Amino acid sequence: MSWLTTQVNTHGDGFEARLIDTLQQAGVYDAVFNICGPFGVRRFVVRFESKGHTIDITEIETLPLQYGGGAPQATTPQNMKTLKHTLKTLKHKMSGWATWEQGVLGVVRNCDNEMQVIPFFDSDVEGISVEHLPTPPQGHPLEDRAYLHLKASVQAQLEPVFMNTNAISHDWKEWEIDENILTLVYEDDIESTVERKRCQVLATLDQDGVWAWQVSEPLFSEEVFCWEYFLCDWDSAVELGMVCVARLNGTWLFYSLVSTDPQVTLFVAVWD
Amino acid sequence: MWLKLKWWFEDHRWGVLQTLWFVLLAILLTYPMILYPNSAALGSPRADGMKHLWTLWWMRSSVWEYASFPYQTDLVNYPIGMDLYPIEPLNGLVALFLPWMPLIALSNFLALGNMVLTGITGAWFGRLLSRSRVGGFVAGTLLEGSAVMAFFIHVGVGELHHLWWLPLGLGCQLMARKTQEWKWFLAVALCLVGAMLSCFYLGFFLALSVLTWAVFTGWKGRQTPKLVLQYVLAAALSISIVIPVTKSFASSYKTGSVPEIGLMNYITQNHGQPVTDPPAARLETRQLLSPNRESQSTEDAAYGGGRYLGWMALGLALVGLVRNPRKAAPWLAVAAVGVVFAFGTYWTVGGEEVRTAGGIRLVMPMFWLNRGLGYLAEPLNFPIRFLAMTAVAISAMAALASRSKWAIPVVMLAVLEISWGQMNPYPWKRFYPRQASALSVMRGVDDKAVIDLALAVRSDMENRYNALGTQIVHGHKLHAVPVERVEYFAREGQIFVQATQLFRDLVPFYENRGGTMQSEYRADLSVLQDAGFGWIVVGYRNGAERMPQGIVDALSQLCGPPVAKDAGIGAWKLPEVTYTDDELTLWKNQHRLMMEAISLKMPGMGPPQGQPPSPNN
Repeated sequence: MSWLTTQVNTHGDGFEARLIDTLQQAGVYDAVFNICGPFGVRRFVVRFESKGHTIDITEIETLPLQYGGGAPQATTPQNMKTLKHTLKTLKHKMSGWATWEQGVLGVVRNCDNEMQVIPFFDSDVEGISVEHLPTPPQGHPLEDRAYLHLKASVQAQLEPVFMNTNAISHDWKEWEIDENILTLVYEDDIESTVERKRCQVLATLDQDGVWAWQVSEPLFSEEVFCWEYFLCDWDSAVELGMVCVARLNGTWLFYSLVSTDPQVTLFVAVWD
Repeated sequence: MWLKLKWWFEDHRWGVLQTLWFVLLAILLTYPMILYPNSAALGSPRADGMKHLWTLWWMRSSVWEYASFPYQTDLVNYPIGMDLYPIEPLNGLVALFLPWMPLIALSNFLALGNMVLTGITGAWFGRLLSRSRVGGFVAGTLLEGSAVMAFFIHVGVGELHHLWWLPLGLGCQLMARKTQEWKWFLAVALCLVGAMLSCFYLGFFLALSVLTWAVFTGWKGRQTPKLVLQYVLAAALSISIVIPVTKSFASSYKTGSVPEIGLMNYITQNHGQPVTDPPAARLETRQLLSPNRESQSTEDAAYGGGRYLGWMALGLALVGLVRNPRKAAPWLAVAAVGVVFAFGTYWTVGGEEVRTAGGIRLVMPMFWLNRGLGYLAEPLNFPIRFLAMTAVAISAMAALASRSKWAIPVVMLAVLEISWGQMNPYPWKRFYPRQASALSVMRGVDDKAVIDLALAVRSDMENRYNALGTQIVHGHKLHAVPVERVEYFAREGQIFVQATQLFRDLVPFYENRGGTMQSEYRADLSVLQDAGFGWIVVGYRNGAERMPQGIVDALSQLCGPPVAKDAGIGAWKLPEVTYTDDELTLWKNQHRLMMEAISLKMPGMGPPQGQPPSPNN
């Protein structure tokens, strides 16, 4: 008889709901989300076992997905330590009603960061592997192979864009975009200076990490340019902005807040 | 014998104990590396350490395994090969004499050795300056324990480990000025040449320090003309050797051409000279004295350290300045020059460039210096490294603080304070190459070259990092150049592989999205075999992903079972095929045409393209 069946027979139908609640209370969900990274499609299993008073994570098993992603991106020592700690808390919280010595967490997350964690313990662990997990229906555009190839292919062009973007002073008093012209107004006590540059508005990034294109038609054909919006973190947003600038043969990437509540940042490709 | 040893020790007691102290200090600063010297290399995993490890391997392997001169190598960009300038020749040279030592241990002991050497030369320099053993001890300890030394190890740029060039060269200069003997001026010249060739940055810092100190101590009464002449001749000797080499360095790294105008015009006029230092590589004043500064990003954590001078070290330097202003003042000037140039091209605060009322950026002296260097050799990208001059100068001033032994515990506390206050954490960061020990079975099997499928599919930072690590393990020649920036200019091997149908058919399997293999690949296998390829290595990231069954099946169908297989990595031996000369000639021609087609459209490997199209398009 499997571990789960034994527990359900002992504790009744409410066992699974209680188990899920305990997983959340122990912080396992948050810890697993952290090792997944801020965005992206994930599909992997975490194997762990109890050793005395500690928990050992013995393996993270994963396969590359056909549309990119799959493996957790943030398995830093700190995040792994946190995960171990939460698993220890889980064991402690369960000790009064369901014991286990080893376990597996099956983790699946889709491109909208909706995550499912499926736990297996003791005898149920046998034979569980990543292939048994459901596959999310689509990938994340920033993990799409075509985008990864594009990034690798424009590295030479990215260097000057990165350098120019860093070299531009961001202390303008005002800025305005009208008809693909970016106007920057620098001002102090004595005088003001106005600079006008050709530009192309790219996208916005809001405080929830949603990148939304602000173009009438996709800039290029790769998937990342064709999704209207997707989840993204700040570093990846700046990188994507710079890739656009490089691909457009632009000079530097302008970014500035267009709204403070909620926070929305605008990204613009600029030609000097 | 025992008695002789005892007498020798009596004569050199201070030197021996002091050296032991510098060894102990290096061990303490890098602790716990000494307990596990071969488990992980000193340096940040986000910085340049992997290139450092690979360079040591490349130089050692070229000589011992391939019996060839390292600088013209076909270990990368196979089958064409390339001229690869040794970015850290001195470490590479030492590595040649230690062929038995595991690579990570070698890297760690080289770092440790350079730190100890910095302490010893710093002590020699401090003792010459202060005429006191304690003064020497203070200078050596402060320099070895400085945030700059820690940063140079942390950032993983092996040639910067030779910080000892600065106290060595400056010590020779002290002797040269004092004795005015030609041999010491020759020693200064040789130090300049040695430093410049082993690390352009440190050589340049030494030259600038020598110049600054010479200007401030140039007057020597009636001996002044002779002194000036000696300096000029030493400088001329160094320059005559260094300039041709640095020019060849600039050309081998394709740093761009300059317009056909004079040096002064290039420095003073605007000819679109590049600004090569990013704001993150520039010093901001508050960073010098702010303890426990926290990194703002992963890049900052890798490259943002080395800026904290230490309050106690500055206090010692101030005491030295007060007690012996005549000797200390020139070093104050050297420290100031280091700080001024560390500010970089434009004055930067909070990561942003400061502008005047008219929107003009505040130009720093580095602006013109870099134009001059860009004309003669190569502009400097990382002005923060100028703080090496400041660290040496502070050590010099601190050496003048006291001859009393009370300075010994004080300087130890000063090092403790620097270690506590600097941005790079303690214990120092260490990094691990990708786990690829399974590939070690490939070593010595034959001398056939390897196709690294991941690198052929996508040459990005992650795949380059992994390729550096796996090549160290399998030891075979590689079709691509896994060194960033250099790869832009040596892409023939990459194109050679990409021009095969076999590669194009394997890509979808590698990406786990199906794929179809043809019934045979005689043409491709013949061309690859004729060129000397014998292996395919497939690697997935850092081993976190399992290999998709599709790529295992496809390669096993073509090559038989894998020779090596582990988490996310595998190696197959390409099957040997037979062919006639006529067949080979035909297939090579077809392959050449495909290579030409790919080289025309290969994206991203060339320099930036021309004028931008209209953004409306």
